[in-house]
Amino acid sequence: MVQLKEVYMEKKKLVNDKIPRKKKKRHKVWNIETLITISTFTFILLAWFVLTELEFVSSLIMPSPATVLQSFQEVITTGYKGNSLWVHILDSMTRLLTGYFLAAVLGILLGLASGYNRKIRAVFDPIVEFYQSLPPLAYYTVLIIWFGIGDLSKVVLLFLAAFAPMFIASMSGVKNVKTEYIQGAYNLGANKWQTFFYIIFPASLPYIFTGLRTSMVASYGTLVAAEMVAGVSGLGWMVIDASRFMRSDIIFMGLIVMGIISIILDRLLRFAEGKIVPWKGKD
Amino acid sequence: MVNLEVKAKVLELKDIQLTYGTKGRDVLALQNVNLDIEEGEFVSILGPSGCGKSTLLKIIAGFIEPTDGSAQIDGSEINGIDWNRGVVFQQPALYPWLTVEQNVHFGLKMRKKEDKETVRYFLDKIGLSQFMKSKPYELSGGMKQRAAIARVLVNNPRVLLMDEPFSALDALTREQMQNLLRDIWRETKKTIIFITHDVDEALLLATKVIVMSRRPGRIVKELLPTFTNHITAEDNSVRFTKEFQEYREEILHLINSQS
Repeated sequence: MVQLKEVYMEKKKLVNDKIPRKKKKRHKVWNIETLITISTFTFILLAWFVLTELEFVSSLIMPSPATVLQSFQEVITTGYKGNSLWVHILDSMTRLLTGYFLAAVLGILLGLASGYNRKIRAVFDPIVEFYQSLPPLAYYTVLIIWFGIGDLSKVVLLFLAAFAPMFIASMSGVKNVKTEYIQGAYNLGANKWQTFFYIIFPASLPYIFTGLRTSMVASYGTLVAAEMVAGVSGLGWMVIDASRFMRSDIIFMGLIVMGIISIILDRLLRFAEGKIVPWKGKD
Repeated sequence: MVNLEVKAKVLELKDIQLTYGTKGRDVLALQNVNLDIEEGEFVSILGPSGCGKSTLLKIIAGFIEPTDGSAQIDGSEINGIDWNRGVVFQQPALYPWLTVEQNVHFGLKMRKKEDKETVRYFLDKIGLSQFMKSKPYELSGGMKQRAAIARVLVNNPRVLLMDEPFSALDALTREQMQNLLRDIWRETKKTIIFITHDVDEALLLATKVIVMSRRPGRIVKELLPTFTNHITAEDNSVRFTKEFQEYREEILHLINSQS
């Protein structure tokens, strides 16, 4: 036994020598690619400035950076048609996140269930497959008839737009769980429910996050479109309304704000993804 | 090395037959497999690829049912997957969302037999104590496979089933792992069924070597080598003996003569 212990000690040493060194990831802020990106944006801004300053194009087609900035200040302080920019952003985000959150919860639950159980899949999969092929604005007409032109029909619309990618991603997450993970779990003594909660669900998380990001893109696009078609507030409405009055400065400002919000939303999801599924792509 | 002790029969395979039905054409994968395994034996199942040796292991594990014949453990028919027949896969399917320690603890936790001490004991045994808080993807291939072995051992299963567990490792790591497994076997006296396509590996580890034929897989020979008893981490010179070479030739001949 003593000898055996020695053997283990020796092996331990061997293992310790073979510690895979963790790569030190230095977050260099000023690497060459960042500089290129910054230069590109500076160039675009500069070109924009020069083009409008020299009046190559009319301010209607392209307002100058200064006017856009000015209208930004104006919309924040005095507001656009009675409401501040924050109110429009808040209105849009409330609709978006309500629909999105409901879709995420239900889409993940039903998607996981459908991936696991063929009978449940037989109920929901055909429905999702049919309606997700339709452009959301097409069935928005029906939703307006059913739920009115206010926020409810928009929330339902965003829910539906976000639900399909969520459902499909979660379902394929379950279907793609490695057989060894499941067999291994049963083999180690887990029962059906334990295998579902402790193995199938976490193993599907990388797919679920892909679904969360895809649905965000889908519902955000749908939100802006719906507000443009039938809205009295929100970012989409602000931009379409400004276009009716040839307020190019407001349109440009609105587009920039939309872009920034979209980037922030995606960054938040990616941050959560990095925290919750750090193993994604390493397995 | 004659062992006069009467040992308990752990596993009994009688006339195992397995056919795969693929689009109307039935493929016979296993034919008339008869095998008795006694307690504490280290059995290696050798054969060319596609001979159904992994399939046989899956039947013993309860992953699949034989088309015909009976597979019994301790006298009762094998029925489904059970922790008493712990499997180590070719690719260590550790759970990347759990730490090494949580992976090893998984079986006990699921069986509501939480016992961190046993987990520590086996982590120490396989030399992964310092990595218990690491995630599987931070480990090397050999270390992952050690964790996979520990994960099965904490359950204290009746039989340990291993499906070419070292075939994906480099030669040096493989030899270390073979020594580690032999030590574990000597210490725990576990019954081990070990699938491999490596003749040397089978001879260096097993007390019983089963040679299988090409499809349909049948057992063509049972050998009882004793080399494993003479090997220590420092001395594995038995592999250079004439006897070892003879065994080796015989097995290779058996495998090659069927093609």
